[in-house]
Amino acid sequence: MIQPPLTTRAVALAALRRKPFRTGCLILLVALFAFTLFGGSILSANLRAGLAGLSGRMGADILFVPHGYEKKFQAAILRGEPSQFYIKAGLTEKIRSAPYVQAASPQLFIASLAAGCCTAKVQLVGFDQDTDFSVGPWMRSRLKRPLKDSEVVAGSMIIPGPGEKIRFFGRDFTIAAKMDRTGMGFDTSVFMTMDAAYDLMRESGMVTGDTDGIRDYISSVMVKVVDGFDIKEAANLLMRGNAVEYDLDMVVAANMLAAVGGSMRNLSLVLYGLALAFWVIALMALFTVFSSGRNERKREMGILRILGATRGKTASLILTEALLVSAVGAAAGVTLAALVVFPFNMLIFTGLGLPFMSLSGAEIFFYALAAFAAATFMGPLASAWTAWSVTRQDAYATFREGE
Amino acid sequence: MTRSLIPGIILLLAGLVLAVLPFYLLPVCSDTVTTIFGDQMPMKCHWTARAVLGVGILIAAGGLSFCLSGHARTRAGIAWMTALSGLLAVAIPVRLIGVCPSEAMPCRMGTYPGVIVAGALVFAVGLFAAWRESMKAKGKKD
Repeated sequence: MIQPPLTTRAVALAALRRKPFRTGCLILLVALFAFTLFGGSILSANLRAGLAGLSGRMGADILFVPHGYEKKFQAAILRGEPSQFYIKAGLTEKIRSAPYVQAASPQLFIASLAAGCCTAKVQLVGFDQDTDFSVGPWMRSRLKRPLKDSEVVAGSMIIPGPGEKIRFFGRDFTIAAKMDRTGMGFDTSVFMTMDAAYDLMRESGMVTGDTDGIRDYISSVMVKVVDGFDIKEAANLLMRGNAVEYDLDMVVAANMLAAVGGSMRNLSLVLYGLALAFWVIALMALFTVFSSGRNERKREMGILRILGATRGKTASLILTEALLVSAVGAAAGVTLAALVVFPFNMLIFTGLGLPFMSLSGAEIFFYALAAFAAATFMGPLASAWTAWSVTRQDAYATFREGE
Repeated sequence: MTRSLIPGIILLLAGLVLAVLPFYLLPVCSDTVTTIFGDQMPMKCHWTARAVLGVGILIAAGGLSFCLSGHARTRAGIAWMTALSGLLAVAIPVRLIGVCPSEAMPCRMGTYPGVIVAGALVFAVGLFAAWRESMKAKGKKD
C-alpha cells in the first residue's frame, strides 16, 4: 500500500481526523461566528440601503393625516399595509396659504381588495398631478408624460407588467409604468390620478348617499416647507391653526426616518454583538483546545522533531490544523448564512417591518469574503501562542515529557 | 456503522421537515378565491402544499429504508431515488404546480424558498450517500 507523502497538510488532516468530535465542535463554533457575522452584515447593509432609499423618496417634510391614523399611515408607507382614512379637502388650500409652506399636495388612499387571483391586497394612492412634488419626481424616471385617468403606475411587486391590464373594484386600468424596487410600501402600491381614485370610490360603492360630495375629502396632505424655515416650527404652527378644525395628526418625515434609523441601529447592534460573543467563545475554545493539546501531544511532537522535522515545521503543523478547522468552519458558516438570508430575505424584512434594498453582487461578495477571512484568521490567531511555545522546547526533553 | 447511518437520518429528518413545512413551519396562503359562480376555491399554493406533503413522506421513507438496509448496493439505489425525490420536491413549486405570483404572498415569501432549500439539501445528501455507497459496493466487489 502506497502511503501519502508526509506533508504538513497531510499530518494536520490526520491529526484532525483522529479526533472527529473535537474537530466537529471547533468547526461548529467557527461556523456560528461566520454565520452571524456574514448574515448580520448582509441584513444591516440591506437595511442601511433601505433607509437611504426611504429618505431619498420621502420628498415631503411634513405629512398631515386624520387624528389617530399616524401609525396606519406609517405602516402604509413603510410596509405597504393597505388602509384608508379621510379628512376634509379644504385643508390643502389652508396649508398652502401659509407663508412658510413651499408646496402642499393632497393624496387619496384606497385599500383594494385582492387584484385578481393569488395576489395580496394593495394600497391604491390617488395623487394630484398639478400640485404633486413627492411622487412625481421619482415616477418621471419611468413615465415621462402625465398619467391618464385610465392608467396607473404600479409598484415593483405588483404582478402585471407595463401595458397590461389590472382590475380594481371591477374597473380595468392599464399599467403605464412600473417603479423600481424601493423596499418600502411603495412596492405594493398603485398610483393613479386623483380623478380616477374618486371615480373608483364612487363606482365601487365604497361611498353611498351624497357621492357628489366625495371630492370634498382626501386622505393626507404632503407639505414641503420653504428652505431655511424650521420644519418643527412649521409643523407646530400648522397644527395649531388646523388641528381642532380638521382633527389632525402629523408625521414629521425626519422624525419617522430617525425612528426607523434607531430601530435599524438597535438591530445591527444585536447582530454584531452576537457575532462578537461567538468570536470570543470560538477564540477561547480554539485557544484552550490547542494549548491543552500541546501537552497531550508532546510525544508526537518529540518524535517528529527526532525524525528531522524542524521547529518551524512543528509550529506550522499546529497552525495548519487551526487554519483547516477555521477555514472549513468559515466556509460552512458563510454558506449557511447565504442559504438563510438570500432565499428568505422577503420573509425576514417583512417580519422586521423595516425598509430594505437588495445589495449588488459585488457588495455581497465583499461581505462574504470579509466574513470568511475574519473567521479563517481566528484559528491561526488562537493557536499562535501554542505554535510559538512548541518551537521553544528541546526535542528529546519533549519526547521524554510525553512518555 | 453508525456514521454510515448519518445520511439516512438526515434524509429522514429532511423528509419530515418537507412534509410539515407548507402547513406549519412556513405555511402557504390560507385565503380562497371567489369564482364567478360564487364558489370558494383554494389558491394554487394549496395544491403545492399537498403535493410537497406526499413527496416529503416519500423522502422520509427513503431515509428510513436507507438506515434499515444492510447492503451497500441497495442503499445506493435508495439514495439515488431519494435524491431525485428532492429534485421533484423543488420542481413542484417551481414548475409543476407553482405558488402565488406576488412576492408579498406568504407562500412566495416563505414556502417557496423553504421547499427549494430543503429539496436541494435532500438532493445533495442523497447524491453524496449514493456515491459513497456505490464506492463501498465497488470496493467489496474488487
